[in-house]
Amino acid sequence: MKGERGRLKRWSIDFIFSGPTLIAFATVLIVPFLYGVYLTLTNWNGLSNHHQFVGIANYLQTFQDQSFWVSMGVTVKYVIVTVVLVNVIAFALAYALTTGVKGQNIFRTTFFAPSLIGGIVLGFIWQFIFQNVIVYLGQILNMPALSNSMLATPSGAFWSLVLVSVWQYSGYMMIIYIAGLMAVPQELVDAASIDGANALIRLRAIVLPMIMPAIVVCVFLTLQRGFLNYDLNLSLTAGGPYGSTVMVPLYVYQQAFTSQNFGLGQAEAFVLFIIVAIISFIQVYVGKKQEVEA
Amino acid sequence: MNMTRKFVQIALTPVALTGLVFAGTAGTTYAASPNVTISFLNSKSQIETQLQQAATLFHKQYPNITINVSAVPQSGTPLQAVQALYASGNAPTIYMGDPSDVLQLTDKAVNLTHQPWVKDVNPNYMAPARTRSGQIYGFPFAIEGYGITYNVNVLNKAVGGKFNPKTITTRLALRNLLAKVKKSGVAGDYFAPMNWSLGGHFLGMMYADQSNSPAKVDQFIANLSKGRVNLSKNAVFNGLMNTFDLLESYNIQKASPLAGQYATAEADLATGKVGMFFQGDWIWPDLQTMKLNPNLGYLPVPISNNPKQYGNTQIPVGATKFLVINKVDNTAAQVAAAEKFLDWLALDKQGQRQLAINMSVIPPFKNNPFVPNNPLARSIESYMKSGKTSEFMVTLPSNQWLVNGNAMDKYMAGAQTRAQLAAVITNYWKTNKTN
Repeated sequence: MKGERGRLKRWSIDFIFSGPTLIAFATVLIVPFLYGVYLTLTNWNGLSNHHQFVGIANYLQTFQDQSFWVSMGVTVKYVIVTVVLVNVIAFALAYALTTGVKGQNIFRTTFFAPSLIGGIVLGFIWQFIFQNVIVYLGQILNMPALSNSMLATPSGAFWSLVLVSVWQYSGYMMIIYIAGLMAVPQELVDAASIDGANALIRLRAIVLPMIMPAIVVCVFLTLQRGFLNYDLNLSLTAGGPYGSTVMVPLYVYQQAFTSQNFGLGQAEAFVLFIIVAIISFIQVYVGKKQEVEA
Repeated sequence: MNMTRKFVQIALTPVALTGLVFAGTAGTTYAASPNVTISFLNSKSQIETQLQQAATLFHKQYPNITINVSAVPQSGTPLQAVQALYASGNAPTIYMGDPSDVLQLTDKAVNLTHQPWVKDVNPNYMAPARTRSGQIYGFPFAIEGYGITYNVNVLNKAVGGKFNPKTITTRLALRNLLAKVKKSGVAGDYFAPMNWSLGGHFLGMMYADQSNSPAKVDQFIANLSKGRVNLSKNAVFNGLMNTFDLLESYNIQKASPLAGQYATAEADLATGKVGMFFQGDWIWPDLQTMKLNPNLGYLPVPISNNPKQYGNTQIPVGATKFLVINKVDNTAAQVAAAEKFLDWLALDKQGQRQLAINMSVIPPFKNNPFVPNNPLARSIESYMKSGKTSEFMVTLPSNQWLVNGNAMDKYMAGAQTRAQLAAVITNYWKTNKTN
């Protein structure tokens, strides 16, 4: 009897502390998620008061929807390119800005600043730069390569998305790498130097294994942001030219709202969720295995 | 035991509190006070300020009714915006929607069949708001038209005298005109690549110009859906695309057509940097924002060299915005106030003037004596008066402009042939599941 009372007491105290968060998490995440999964089994158009249960028809259609897989291809290409570029650049910046170079705090702040601007605003700013500023410069400098907007060709629009993403996220990931680099024990590095390791070997054999936790986090964040990139895609290219840069989140939105196939859109979003979950799980699992203790 | 009760109490407190908050909002009725506040979701961003002025003026006449005007976000369609509001139980009292929205909302909207203004509307413009059984769910808010917008001064200079738009009834005549404009030192036209414009409006003429009978146009679309139309052999499609090629060959953005921008095109037309711009009269409020006041007019888009061809002398005109009153999430008093506002716009001299003069909207009401004070609206009015209008395809499926507009862009960029474009459009209609 006493044991039960004690347990109840503990539960109620637990609930007081974690309950509000739990309720918020359930109402804004769990419930909508489950409702969304339910909608994938219906033919709701997003508006009507009625809808019918259609079983797995939406999933079958997802696998037949060519445009969806085309946009999945664009997304995967974008993710691979941005994950590599963002992390390489962020690490290089972090490495350079932990060597005690003059004014390194100013540099760190400056590189970090772009990640403070929201994706929509960022997209419109860069759209203006690509469409107007660069084109204008190209015309007055008489450089034909610059005088046509990059956003008018499929490859130009793709690489401008990459460029803006790299510019936006490198600073943020740099901060995480800086934190990781500062935690590398100096005596290890010094000991390696005495043993005759040059800078490259020190980087490969000491620094990289030691900052593996930072790498795991940064790769995870860039992967996830890459797959779920919607705001920049919408405001910079809006999927153009002629739908060649529509990535999956934007495609799902168009399927659900413009084409009014809410159930199909939800099913495609769910497929994206599964893919992202699997890739992230593998990445974190493999990454964690590489971690070492000093 | 005591602990259990306390636990239940604590656990239920947030639930009870939430319940109280909801009860509070639901319990608020406007019956206690004669003052009513209604919301208006505006999807014509160009007239946001003017609409607010009209709401203020209306409030002066009816002090117990306050109208809160809000705008739909720039990205996305009006329907997407109102869908979110329905889902959150916060539907606006009045929703300004696209024509294809109205009949999807019949289970949420107020039946307007017996409103006093219905008899003053040309029945053709009412079609998108009328159910099969003749019930009406929308208030036609604006008549709009589109075609080749031209700068009068540029064309006068190009032809060396007073340009007469009635002389352009064939593609050949348009070609000669474009050549003359180019010779006068000005680019022929600005052919802008927005997918909503090329897919929704330019390609819209391909459907509308099939026949002067709306029933036959519907039949054509039905045949497309059944895969019974060979589009690449269709005379109207090929004629229209030949004119597309013509406009593209004189395009100021020819070097990189997809780099063209809407706002630049508007400014270039108004300042006489180009002679023509394929677009609708909704560009006018933007030009006013840019403090430009050019003299403009409309030419039809000719699709053949036969001056008698249907479509060569007509421009598409139709009701492009409808007001819907929501009975969901709104009280009876709010619905009544909204109905009063619609009456005011349609029947009251003040309201009529606000609609036509201040908002520069061509009113769909026969009894409205005012004509918008802008050259584009006047040009459209003159086409309407002489009966030279074709159907503005306002109720095509909601993703028609996106899918086929992107295909038009791809054709414009030279990344696919006309046969491939025809195949995309044919396939769109065969596989489209949107109502």
